Amino acid sequence: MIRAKQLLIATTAIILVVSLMSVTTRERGYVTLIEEKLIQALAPLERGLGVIAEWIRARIESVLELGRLRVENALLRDENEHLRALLIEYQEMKAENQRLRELVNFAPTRPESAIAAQVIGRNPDNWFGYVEVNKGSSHGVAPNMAVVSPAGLVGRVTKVTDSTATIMLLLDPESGVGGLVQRSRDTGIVLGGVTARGTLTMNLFSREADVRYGDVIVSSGLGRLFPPGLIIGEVVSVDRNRYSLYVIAEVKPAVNFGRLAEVLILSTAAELLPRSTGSGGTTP
Amino acid sequence: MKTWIVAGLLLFTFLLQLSITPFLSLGGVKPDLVVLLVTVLGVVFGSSFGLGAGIVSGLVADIFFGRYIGIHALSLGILGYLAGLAEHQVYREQSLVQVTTAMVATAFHQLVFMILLIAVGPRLPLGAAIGRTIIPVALYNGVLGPFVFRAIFRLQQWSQKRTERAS
Repeated sequence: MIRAKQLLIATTAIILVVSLMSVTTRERGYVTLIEEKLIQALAPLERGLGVIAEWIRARIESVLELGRLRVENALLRDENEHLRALLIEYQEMKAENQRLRELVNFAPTRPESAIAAQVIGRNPDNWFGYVEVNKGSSHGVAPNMAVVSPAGLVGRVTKVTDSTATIMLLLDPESGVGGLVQRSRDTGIVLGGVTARGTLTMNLFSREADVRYGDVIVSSGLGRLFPPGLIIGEVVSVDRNRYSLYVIAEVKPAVNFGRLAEVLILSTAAELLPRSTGSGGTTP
Repeated sequence: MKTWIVAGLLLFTFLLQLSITPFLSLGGVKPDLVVLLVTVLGVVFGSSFGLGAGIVSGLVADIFFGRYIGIHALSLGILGYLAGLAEHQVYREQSLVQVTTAMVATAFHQLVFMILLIAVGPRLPLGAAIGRTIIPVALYNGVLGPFVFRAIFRLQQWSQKRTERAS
């Protein structure tokens, strides 16, 4: 009798959970009241534990890395000199670009408004690629906004509460970004996959696409979700299977997602899109 | 063991999983402490307890981060229930049994999770998913398994003493 009762409870629980899963299969840009309250209640605890974890990691790393720092310092000094020269050149080009834009009355392609946010948590499993940040709708964050770090493109906002936002990383199995090979301008779509592998897959639309090891991949801006020209990563291998419709390149992301601490949320790109997101996957 | 102790333990483990384990990641893989806890709770306290612990902790994970609400709840619920079937079948005090239980349970859970994920959403390369996620997480959890078993045994003893003193 007890066994039958247990089985009934287990079956009911499983049916309820499966129903919930099927209802939420489609991507939602909003959160329910229960989700919002739970996320907001746990956010301060999570932030506190995150600070402690980061402090411990930083102490251990600083001890381990002392020997290497001296050599690295010398290299960085050289690099700094080189970058200073490049910066001057860049400022010159930027000024010239601005003058030319005004001349032809172009709208700026790079959004000017960005919201700085701190990473306060990561998804608990090894399958999805999500982080949570400490800025939400009260700071102007909305679903579909592109997210970047100084190293390159991070992903996009998928869920927003009043004070937090969830970001889908490029590594997530459902992530997809329009990309192009910076050198040859060949285009394709950069997809996530197995998060633990740490690399992305780029399907290039043309079978004759010119792509090779070391090529830099940037966002193409097609689909308007992500601004063009943001660094996605570098090609580490190319697969030209003659039976495949695509040339497939494995791309190592420019961003170290394991060490992501601060991000910039770009507001302009999302404003170009309608707010409702009906499809299951990510629009490139 | 009192329900509030288990609830607190699940919440604490979940917060550890969100904040600390990313820093313990080896080769892109982090241990899954929630899976370990649900397994141990099932083995120590039985199927009903394991099922409840799995569904509750899974729902919290789903609401917090899950792309599909229910995927963690279902996979952890199944895990907790099946782990509970081994309640009186294994010598759970032995380290080797603890390591093996943690490894097998984690591999099973990850496999169920992958199947559910493929069923509802994205296509995943199976070889990479098994080789780069399922096996490494199972090995990692296997190493940590005995620590979680011992922590739960101690907590159980402490809870029993507290109850005896109160009565």
